[in-house]
This record gives sequence, structure tokens and C-alpha cells, in this order.
Amino acid sequence: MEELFAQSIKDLGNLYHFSEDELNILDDADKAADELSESEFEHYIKREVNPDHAKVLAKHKIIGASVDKKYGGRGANPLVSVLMKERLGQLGMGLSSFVNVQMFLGEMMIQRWGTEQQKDKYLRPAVKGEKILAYGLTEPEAGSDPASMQTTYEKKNGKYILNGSKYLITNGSIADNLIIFARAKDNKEEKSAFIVDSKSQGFSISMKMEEKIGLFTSDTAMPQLDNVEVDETDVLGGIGNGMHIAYSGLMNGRTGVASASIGVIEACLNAVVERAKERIQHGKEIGKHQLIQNHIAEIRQNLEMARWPVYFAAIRKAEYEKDPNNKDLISELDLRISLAKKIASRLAFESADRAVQVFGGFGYSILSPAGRMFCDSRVARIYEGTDEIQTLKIAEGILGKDFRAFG
Amino acid sequence: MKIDLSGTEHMAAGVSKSERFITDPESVSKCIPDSKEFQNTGEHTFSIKVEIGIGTLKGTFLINGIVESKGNSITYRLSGGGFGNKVSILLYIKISGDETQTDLSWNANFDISGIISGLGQGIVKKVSEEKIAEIINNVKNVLEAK
Repeated sequence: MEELFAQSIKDLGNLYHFSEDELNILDDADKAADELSESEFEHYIKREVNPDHAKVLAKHKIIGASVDKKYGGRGANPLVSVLMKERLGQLGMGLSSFVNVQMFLGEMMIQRWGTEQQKDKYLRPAVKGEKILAYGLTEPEAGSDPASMQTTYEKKNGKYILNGSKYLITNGSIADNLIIFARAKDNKEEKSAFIVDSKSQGFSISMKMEEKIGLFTSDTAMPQLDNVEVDETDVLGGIGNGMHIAYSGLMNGRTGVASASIGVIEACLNAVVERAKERIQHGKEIGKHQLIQNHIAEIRQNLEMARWPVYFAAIRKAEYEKDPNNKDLISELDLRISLAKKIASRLAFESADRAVQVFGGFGYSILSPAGRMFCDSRVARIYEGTDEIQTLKIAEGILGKDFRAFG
Repeated sequence: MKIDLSGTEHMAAGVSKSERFITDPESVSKCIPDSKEFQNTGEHTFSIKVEIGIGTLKGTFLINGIVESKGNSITYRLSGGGFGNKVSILLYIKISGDETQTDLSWNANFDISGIISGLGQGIVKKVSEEKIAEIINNVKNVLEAK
């Protein structure tokens, strides 16, 4: 097992008793990451989507590990899920983005809000890697303010008709099904979520975002909906519940980004330690130069500072999942997840920046792990809620909802 | 970057035949994917050009080698480089068996510097393992077919 990941499990093992099943899940996550490492590297430097994600994650039964056993998952609780994502995050944010959307935003939202029919139709195949899912919330004019979405639905002849554009959607062009958020055409306050089949007439991909500055192995696209018909049975969570679903999904997504950020810091630490012991300049290993030691020590500190807020948020999230109507717990969790996401993602980017510095000129290339982590980790401060949104949520968590600074 | 790999292999070929094959670098070179321009440079020395690559990072290495055989032990000492990389490999092979089969155990110590070493040990080790498995499989196929 990868050493830093094994250390995380050991450290947490002093506070939490992992069952045999949970340790097996973590072992499988380690195997999946190991198996994907080479193809992730190769596709990254070719700047192309890695088509192996679903296949390998399904082979190791990781693609739906957080889903309840009764739907074919392995029932991994939030803490175990965070650790899985930590290990996968060591390969960069591309793989992490796929998992975040497939499992945390796709499968987990259908599990929480879907009907039994929807779970049979979408969740069970997704858990086996037979259906790829996407989460269509963001729009060109509705990023940090999803409530201002312009995609509309109206009911005609017993079907819902969707029109609009979704933007920067992970898995957007490879998904079989997308959870699409829209507002009622005649009432912009009413928001709902729909499970849309990507083969539906009127569904198209108007743009693939291939000109990113990182995250190359993850698909990012702009789905277009032109009079897409959705059956009543594919409304997720009931008409009018769109924003509840969206925000509950974001809690999962943010936890996922935070945990992958721990993995990024670990990858940076592994890379700089290796480099420091092997690279010789001025007649000695660069690790013997004090200023390089400073970078290494800072990255190790970043790891320590990043992981505990994430683990603690996950522990509290497990409590919340047992008691989802506890409003105090929801408020606390909202604060803890924003803290975890903001702290971990900023420290991941800072660690990657330091790793580039340790690598020197080669660090400025995506051939180096430092260069790849630098390009990838920047997005963690943006997607699933920017640093600025997390800051406002943290302030709201301290001052109270009356002081909410956003809509 | 230092990488140590080891393994064992069972071959359905007599030990004398296996030993003759494995101590002949020209025969072994034909089992190395993307090898070209093999030259015997002395009784126990040779040079070979091999295309080595990870992903899009590919180039030709010129490797000089010495092969030594003592009892049932065979040693290959390889050193060379290409496109900003240097590599030295020490490969120990032990063979045993009878006239119908061969058991082979091997241990390889790689020392790599340059661009490839900067890719990270995880990637380089995985690719090296795959390449060695491919070479051993090719050797095995040739020996068992004859």
C-alpha cells in the first residue's frame, strides 16, 4: 500500500475502528490507483481524457463504494469515502473529478433523492460502471450563484420539456445520464432536478472544454438542451426541490474536492522527497540544502493542516447522514465542509507550487509530477464553490444566517 | 533514481539450452522490444540501441554491456544513455533445472538519472516491470518453442 495513504489509515485507526470490510475497500482503492497510475500519466501528457477510469474503478469495486450495499455498493461511510478519494487524488484532480461527479454527485444524489425505480434504472448500473453520470448545475451565467440558472422546464402532454445550456460539466460528453437542474419556465423561483438521458432527442454537446490549464484526463463539456423531453418518472426528488438537491450535492462534492486535495499534497510530498534525495547540485543532494528542506517541511506541514479538518468534517458528515433533519448539525457541517475545502485546496495549490520550485526547470513541465499537480490543483480552489464562496459560508457559519452575504 | 526488481520464472526448456541462450546477448537482444543495431564489441561485450519511452517521452538509448557467466550465475552489466538520461543496470540471473526444464531467478538493480528519473519512481518502476515481463515472456516463448 502507498506509504502516506497507509499512514493516514494508521493515524485514523488510533481514533476510529476500521472494520475488515472498510479496510478491504481502502486496499481496493489503493490497487485501483496503482493500476491507473500509468495510463493517467500517459493520457495526461497527451492532454486527453483517460478512458480507463470507469473500467478500472469498477474492476476494483470502487466506482460505487460509497453507495449502500442494497443498491450494489459497499456502504463506505464518509470517512472511508474521504480516504478513498485521498488515495485517488494522489494521481491528480482528473481522476478525482471523475469520481467526484460519478459517485458523490451522481450516485449519492440518486440514492438520497431518487425513487426505487430510478435507483434500479440508474444507480445500480452506475455502481457497476455501466452508466456514467454527470451533474448539470453550472451555466455560463450561473456559476457561484446557481439559483440564477436560465435553463427552463415546462410541462407539456405529461412530459417535461427542457431548454438551456450547461457549462463546464465534468463527464458532460461521456455521461449516459445527467442530473440537470432547471427552473420552471413560468416561475423562476421553482427549481427542479431531472435525470436526462444523453441519447435523448435535442440533447447535444455544444463544446468540449479541451483548452484547460490542467485536469486533462477529465472530460469537461457544455451540454445543450433543445426541447429535450423528460418523463415524469425521471424527476429527481420531486418538482420544486431542485435547490435542496443541488446544495446537498455540493456538500458531497466539496468534501470530495477537499479529500482529493490531501492526495495532491501527498503526491507533492512524495515527489519532492524523491527529487531531494536524487538530484545533485553544488556537489550534494539538493535535499541537503536548507532552503529545499524548508519546502519539504512546509509541504509536510500543509499535509498535516489539510487532512484533519477534512477527516473531522467526514466524521460529522457520518453523524448528519444518520440524522439528516438535525438543523444544528447541518449548519455545523456546512461550516466544517467549507473550512475543509478551502483549507485543503489552498494548501494543495501551495504545496504544488513548492514542489515545482524543488523540481526547478523540470517542474515547469507536465512530465514532472510537480508540474501536473500544479496545473491540476488550481481548479480545486474554484470548482464546487470558489474560495470566495467558502469564505462567505465560513463567515456565515460564525456570524449566523442573518449575516449571509450572498443570495 | 534507484529501482530494484526481482522475479522467478519456470521454463519448459532444458537448462543447457537456456543457459546458452541467456549468455548470448545477441539472442537475448532479439527478445527486447524496440531494440536495434546490436553489435558484438568483444568476446563478452556488446552494444545495442533500444528505443525506450514512457508515454510520449520516447528516445533511443545506446547501451554498452558486459555479460559474465560463472557456474549457474549470469551477470549483465549495462550502462548507457540517451535524450538527457543515463542508466546503469546490474542484472543477476541464476538458473537451475535439468534437461527438460529451467528455473530462473533474477534480480535487477537500475540506477537512472536525467529526465526519466524526474517522472517519479511510481511510473518508472511500473513501466520497467512491464518491459521486463515482456522481455522474459519473449525469452520464454523462444526457448519453449525450439
